[in-house]
Amino acid sequence: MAESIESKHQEKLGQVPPGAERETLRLAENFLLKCIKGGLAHSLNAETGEWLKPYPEVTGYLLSYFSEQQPGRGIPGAVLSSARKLVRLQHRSGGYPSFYDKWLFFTFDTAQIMHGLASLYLVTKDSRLLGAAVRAADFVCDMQLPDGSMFPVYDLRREARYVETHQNWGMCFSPIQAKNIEGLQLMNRVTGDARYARAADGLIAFGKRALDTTCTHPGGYCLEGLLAAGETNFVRERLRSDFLPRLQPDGFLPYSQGLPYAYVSGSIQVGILFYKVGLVDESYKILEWARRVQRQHPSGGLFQYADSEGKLDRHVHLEINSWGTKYFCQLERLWACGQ
Amino acid sequence: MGMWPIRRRYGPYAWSRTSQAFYDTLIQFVGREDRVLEFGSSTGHISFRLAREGYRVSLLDIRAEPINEARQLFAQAGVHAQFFVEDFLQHNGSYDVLWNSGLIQCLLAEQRQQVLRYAATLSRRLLLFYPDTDSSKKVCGADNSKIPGVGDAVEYSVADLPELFCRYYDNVYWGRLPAEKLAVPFDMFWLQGDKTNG
Repeated sequence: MAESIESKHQEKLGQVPPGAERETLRLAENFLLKCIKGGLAHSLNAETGEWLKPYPEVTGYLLSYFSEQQPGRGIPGAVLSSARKLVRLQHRSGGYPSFYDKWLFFTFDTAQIMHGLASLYLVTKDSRLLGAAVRAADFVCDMQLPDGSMFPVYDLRREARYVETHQNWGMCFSPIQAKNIEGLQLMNRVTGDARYARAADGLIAFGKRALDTTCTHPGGYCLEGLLAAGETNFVRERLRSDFLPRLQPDGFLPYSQGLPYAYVSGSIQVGILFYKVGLVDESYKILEWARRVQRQHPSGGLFQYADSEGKLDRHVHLEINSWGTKYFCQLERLWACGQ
Repeated sequence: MGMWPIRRRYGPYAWSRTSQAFYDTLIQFVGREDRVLEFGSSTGHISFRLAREGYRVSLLDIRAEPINEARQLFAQAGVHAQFFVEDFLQHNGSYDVLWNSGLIQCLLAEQRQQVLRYAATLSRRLLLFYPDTDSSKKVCGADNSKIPGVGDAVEYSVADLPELFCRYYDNVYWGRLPAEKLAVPFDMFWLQGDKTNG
């Protein structure tokens, strides 16, 4: 498979002007650094230029990205200040709130921040980052049930774990929690604590059982965790059966079957997964579509929702977000240098 | 055990840190106008306090003796409540909140499902208190001859109880009452489920 990806690389890279990928990457990374205000990553209203939704979770992604992708180039100051902010924001329980309710701590969000803190610790060796990551990891493990699933929320007002059993993928016993495998495995490697590995093992079984690929973004999260766990064949088969038939020749992958718009992050997540399991032609189609999305706005960031031509879709909102842009950077890097 | 009598405020019943923690949890979920049933109540010291504070309380136990005692104690204190000597699974009624402490871990898996299923037909909300049966510090009851929930009746692991709750309720809270707060050797848990519709 490695040979196949390499030859496809040569073939695809020969079709674009030299340096073109790097410019798209530079623009996108600039957006990621610009979106950090007061230590937290924001989204951008594509029309008014207003920065909104300061989001601890997605700030965690930036810590992971810049730690993993740029270890030799030094960590940007904005990212280091974000890490300090995240350490300060952490509740003594180890949990993190989302951007809209300071009383609710989210398991998924906390796990993504944990990954970011641990990744940055590996580069900086700053023990405060590791301490915060350990507290976050303990919080995440405490949310797990014997069947591997995780309570999505800790309600500080009631001092209780909380779940809406019939809610959508954010508040139920959601398969997106399988993405926490990435962070838990990292924490196991960093600390040697077997509890984190056991929690990850529980999530593997749960993720395979509960995977729901109706929508690209949550489905992608679950598959990312399972791929990190080494479930490559399972992931490849589900990508082939569930997402490949929905991919259009121009690289447009709707958020769910029949919708006229894509959740851009979700499409690119699937593009990255395609690449990693060897479905490289399909991955490249998505990359080309994502580049069309990026070209629509001078900020270098990508809309949260876009149509098949890459234009802003107005069904939900008009925002450009950091997490979709971060995934775009990752896909560009995969194609630029295979990492 | 951290138990002390506080007869002046709460009548003839002893009150412990555990009682206080259960009470504090209960009143998060019970409204002033709610019809509240404590099943497997024994003499119902927490229900006594609720009733004394004006809540609409009913007590149910399969044993006549504690219910008769409760009836007497409530009457002496001039506190109103309804009393039932009955198997919970035979009880008919309609309530806003059902609650129990200390019974669920004494039931086998099939019996637990039966109780939850039946509770969901009587009320949209259920609150249970139970010990951390998987704690190394918890010595589980082992007496097969005892009625479930009484004395050292046999107890089982209930680690899967939150998952079971989620089959019957739309919103589920799961809290831990730490041993040090209760002044007992092991943690206690509480589980609250409610149905959004119907």
